[in-house]
Order: sequence, then structure tokens, then C-alpha cells
Amino acid sequence: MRRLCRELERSIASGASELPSALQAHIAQCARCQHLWRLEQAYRRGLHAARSEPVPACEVPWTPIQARLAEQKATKRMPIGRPYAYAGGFAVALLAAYLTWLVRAPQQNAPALLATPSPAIRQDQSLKASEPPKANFAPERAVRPMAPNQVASAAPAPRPNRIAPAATFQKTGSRPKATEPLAQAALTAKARLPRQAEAPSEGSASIALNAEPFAVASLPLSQYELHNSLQVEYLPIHYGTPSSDTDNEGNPHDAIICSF
Amino acid sequence: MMDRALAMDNLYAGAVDRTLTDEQLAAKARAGDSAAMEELYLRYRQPIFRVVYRSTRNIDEAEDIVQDVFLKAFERLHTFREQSRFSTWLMRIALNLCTDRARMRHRRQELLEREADHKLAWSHPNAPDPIEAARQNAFQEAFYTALDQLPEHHRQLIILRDLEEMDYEEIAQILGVSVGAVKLRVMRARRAFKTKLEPLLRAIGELE
Repeated sequence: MRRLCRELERSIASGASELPSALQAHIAQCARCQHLWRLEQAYRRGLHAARSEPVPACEVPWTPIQARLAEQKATKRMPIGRPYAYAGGFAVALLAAYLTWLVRAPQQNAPALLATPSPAIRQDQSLKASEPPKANFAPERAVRPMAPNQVASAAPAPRPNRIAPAATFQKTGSRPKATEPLAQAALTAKARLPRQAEAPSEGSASIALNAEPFAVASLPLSQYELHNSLQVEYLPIHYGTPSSDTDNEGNPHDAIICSF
Repeated sequence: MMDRALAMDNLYAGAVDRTLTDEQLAAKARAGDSAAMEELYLRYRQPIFRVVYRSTRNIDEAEDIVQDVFLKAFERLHTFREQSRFSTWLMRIALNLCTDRARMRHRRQELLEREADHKLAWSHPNAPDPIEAARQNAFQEAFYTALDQLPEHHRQLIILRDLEEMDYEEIAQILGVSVGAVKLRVMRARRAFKTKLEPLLRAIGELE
């Protein structure tokens, strides 16, 4: 009996459409094999019906597929030209930025130049930061009185009362060396002059003549040793006229800057 | 409409020699010959559509998949090494796309929509007996319901072997496995299918 059951299973697996008479007799007696055979018949019937069911024709024409293929090809080619497009765009943007800078640069530089301190003032600031406190200028009118013989012996050479303007240094390129403290101090002293003294004009001569002389800076003259320490003698610089009454009253060694 | 489309396709495909084999056409298509591509498309459009339609049971979806199959095939034609037949390679792409679609779609919703479609499609106007037609419809419904409930790899084997009646060698080439493995898998797929089919047939009175 079990042999026939296995044989039926084998026949079903092989897809046999007809069963031998021995198996047909066995199916009539065995409920399990009967169930299997009916299920197999139902399966085959369903397959037959499904196979015979008409499959609709595919109506997709070639043209849309061809168009999509061409589209895909075009999109694939895009990346080849894309770097050139990016490079071109970047170059145009760079050119536009440069042109904008060229147009706007003079307008922006003018106030910047006004706000920038002159080279002499910048040097003054740097000297203030670097020089020791003793080498700094003494406050105006704080010059120690000095005997004439001391001044004569201490001063190495007569110095001109008139200080060359800072612009002269720039034009000639003969800027003072950092190792010459006197020359630096003189330059700094010029830088500390008030604005009207820095650039006197011919129209302002009458105003300058009537103005009261006042000390605007002090010039270091020479170095001397006092109580085992190095001291610097300063020459106060006044702004005013040589004929002023107050000019030579205090110290005969005061320098006077005149405006003509 | 279908005839007109076919006629137009035949007109366009006149530029290529139709006696060329698939592999020769594939070589031409790889070189960019559009006429060769078209000839390949016309040769395999309907066989691919048959398999895809049996898997999806939806004309629109099947046509979409067919388009995708050929787009993918022509796009990746350089990967076709001619180690298998062009039709086999094409069928493999189709089955992979069917599997992808099957993963994506919502099975339950599809079943509901399909149920309505089948009821309309199978109600033949010239059916001699409406009761017999309704019984036949119920049977077909149970059959396709069981087929839909199968896992994708089992369903593909049932379609290829039992519905499309492909031989084991061809299925083995499509799936990239041995013939023995295909036979074993087909047997398992049938068993699984019958397991799904049995309660459905009982429910409609086809089995005691």
C-alpha cells in the first residue's frame, strides 16, 4: 500500500497525465492519495485555464523607448560639458568681482587715506612702544634750566632750528636710521606739531604773526651723564614770531618755529 | 490600434536585416545601431510581456515593466557577454524587475483591485451557463490568489515552468543555477502552491 502511495507521488511530480490502472485502483481505496490526486487535477485545471487565458498584446511602440534612450544618452553626456560650464561661470563671476573692485576702489580708498596716520605719526607710535622711558620726550615747559657753558660743551654741533618736514624724508628717501636717537626724536618732534604748524600756508602768515608763541615740542639736543645716569637735554620749540615779547624771556635756548 | 502600432514598428524596422541572429543584432546595437535595437525589441517585446503580465496581471504595469526591461537592457548592453542567449539575458532582467516591483507594491491593495478586474474580465458575454461561468470565475480567482500569495521566487518558477512551459535548461540559464537545482525548486514551488491553493478550493467547494 505504501509503495503505491509513493508511486502516485512520483507520478504527480513527473507530471504524468494518465495513471496506470493499479494506481487508479489504489486511489479509489486510499483517502490520502485520493485527496492528493484531486488537488493535482485542480492544479492542472487551473494551469490549463491560465494558459488558455489570452494574454493581451503589448502595444508599447518603439518610439517612446527610443526617445527615452536618447534622453538618457543626452543626460549622460551632460557631465562632460558641465565642468566647462562651471569654469566659464566662475571666470565670469571673477571678472565681475574684479570690475566691481576697480570701479569702487577709488571711492573706498579716499576716506581710508584720510583715516590713515602719516608715516611720521606711525613712526612716533612705534618709537613710543619701543624706546625706553628715559629717551622719551619730556613734557613741554618741563625742560631743566641749563647753564650756557654746559650747553656749549654738551652740544656736539649746532643744529638748525628749522626742522625739515616729514615729507622731505619721504621724497628723498633719506629716512633717519633707527640707530640715531637724536634724528629720530627730531622727526618725532616734528610729527607732534599741531596741524597749522605742520603745513603753514602763505595765507595764514598774518594769523601766525599775531599769534602768541607757545611751545609745541621739544628737541633732544645731546646726551650727558649726571649722577651716573645718561640724561638728554631738550630744546623746547615754540610756535610764534621771533619778535614776540614772550619769545626769549624764559630760556634763550628755545627754538622758535616761524611762519612766513 | 495594435495592428497599426505593429505595422508602424515593422516599417521602422525595415532598415535592418532580419535574418541576423540575436547576438549579431546585439553587437550592432552595442555599437549604437538604433535599427538593430528596434529589431531586438520587436522580437522579444511580446514574450517578455507575456511573462511580466502573468506575474503582474495588470496590463499597464506590465507595459511599464517591458519598457524598463528594454531600456535597462540597451543601456547595459555592454555587460552582455554572450555567455548565454540574448533572450535568456533579457528574461533575467525582466524577472529582476518583476521582483523589484513586487517588493514595492502593496500586495493587499493590488489583490483588491485585481479582484474587481477579474470579475469583469472573466464574465464572458457568450457564456452558456451563468452558474458555470461563476464557478469557473471562482476557481480562477482561487488559482490566482494562491499564485499571488506565493513568494516571488516560487511564483516565477511556476510561471516559467508551468505557465510558459519553458524547459529546465532555459530556466537554469535564466536563473543562473543548475538544471537539478531548478527541478528541485520547481517541485518545492508546486508543493507550496498547492498548500496555498487547497484551502481556497475548499472554500469554494471544489475540494471536499
